[in-house]
Amino acid sequence: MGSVTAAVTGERATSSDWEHLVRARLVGGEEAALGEIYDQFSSFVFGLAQRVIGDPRAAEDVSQEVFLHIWEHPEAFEPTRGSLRTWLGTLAHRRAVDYVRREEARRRRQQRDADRRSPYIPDVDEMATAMVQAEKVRNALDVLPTEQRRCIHLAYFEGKTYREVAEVLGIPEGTAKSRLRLGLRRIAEALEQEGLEQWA
Amino acid sequence: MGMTAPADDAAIEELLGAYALDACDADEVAAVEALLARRPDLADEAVRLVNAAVWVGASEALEAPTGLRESLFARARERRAAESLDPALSAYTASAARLGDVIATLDPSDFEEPTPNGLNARDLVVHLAAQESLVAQVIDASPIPEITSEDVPTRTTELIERLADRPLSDAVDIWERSVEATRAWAADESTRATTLPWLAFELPRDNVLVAKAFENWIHCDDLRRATGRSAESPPATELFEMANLSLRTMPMALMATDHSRSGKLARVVLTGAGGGEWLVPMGGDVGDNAAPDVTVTADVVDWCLVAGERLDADALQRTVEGDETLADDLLAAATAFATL
Repeated sequence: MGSVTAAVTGERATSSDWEHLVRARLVGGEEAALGEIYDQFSSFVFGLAQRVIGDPRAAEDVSQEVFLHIWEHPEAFEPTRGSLRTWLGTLAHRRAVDYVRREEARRRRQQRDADRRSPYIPDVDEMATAMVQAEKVRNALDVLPTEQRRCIHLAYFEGKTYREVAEVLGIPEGTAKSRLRLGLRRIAEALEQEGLEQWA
Repeated sequence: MGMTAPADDAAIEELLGAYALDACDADEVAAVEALLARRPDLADEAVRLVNAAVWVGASEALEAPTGLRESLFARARERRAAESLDPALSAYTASAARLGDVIATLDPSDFEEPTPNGLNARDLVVHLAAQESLVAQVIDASPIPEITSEDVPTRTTELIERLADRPLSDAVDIWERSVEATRAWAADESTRATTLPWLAFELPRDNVLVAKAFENWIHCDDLRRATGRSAESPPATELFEMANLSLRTMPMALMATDHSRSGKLARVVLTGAGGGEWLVPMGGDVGDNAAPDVTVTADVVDWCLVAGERLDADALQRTVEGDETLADDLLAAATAFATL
């Protein structure tokens, strides 16, 4: 899969018995294992893809590709290297950014059909958990200085490279790089204080 | 957008935040990953920053559309047949499903994009229809019986001309009907022991199906790359079938490319999911208890990409123990499979 998780090989990463077990079940081709993963992470993966892409239908396609990827390549997920949520989130973001950049490169393409699918019906329990987590994350983001938050927003949610971030904000590339790194460090610290440093 | 490799470790280290946010270009990603491989302290920071980035994404959790779960399972069943008793047919149908999904995403702005096989994206789809309908022709089920050439380039040229003023959906329709004809034919148990005249060879049915699955993967990646997406290797079960075909047909490939080495035995170890170990007689009689004259170890995906002519043999990362000239012969013959 994407380069990020391939490089995230730290010994400190978390894992769980469930992740080891579900991976083994996927390797064995058990559909119920895919269902468990979908039920646990679909709102996270879809929400992330939708936020980056801004088009629910494309976000559906990207989400489907993420779950199909682990279905077809369960061996690519190594629980000892990091949590399943981080693996899925990294893949979802990479795919969503790829989509956005591909679409930007296709300015001349024809107008996409604008019809929409049926409205979403939230699952109360899953959404309640997701919303509590989301609130904590937003609190963590609030601790960032505005300039760092803006840089991270442009890079993560709008799929821009650090060079493009620098160009949009009219700052040197080196400044953009350091704001992204410092900003993520601050978020990591804030999340650790919120008890969200691990995904288990 | 420029692609500039950073000059030194300090400059690369500054990219960690951008790297965690997928905000680097490809050269920079490679440079960061090389640095992380030799700097465990930075790898720890990368883990922390990637986790933080993924948490940022969690702030946007949103219930997935109601139909997505059902759609996902339908695709999952198409793409991967669990515990299959017919791995060759499974590889063929699953690879065709993946290729069909990629073809379905093409829009007219993609048609002129060049692909690694020399055709543009539109003509590559027509080429796929030409190839696939040739298989259907061999089993007397071609959807375009008026095109009879068994030479793939000739067939492709004829079909490109014929469909020049037609929508791409015409080519896709030929491709889909051909795939379905082959799938239906192969689903009949009585075909398991048959052979097919395929190009210059008489091949077992399983070999033809796996060779087609191999082509589906290679051309699927061609289209993915042409439309700005990353390449994606097949599941381990399919990779094994492809590697197995590549190495079981190696004696024939060595002969066909004039690289046979009489009395020599090679051991090929392919690593990674879908890999395995094969003993390859390189020509003549090697005896029942002969020790390998050479052992070649490489990644299974890379080996298959060499066989599919999408990675140059010289660029294959491998270790060789024993007679290196034998390894060179194996690699020189490996691409003969691409013509099957």
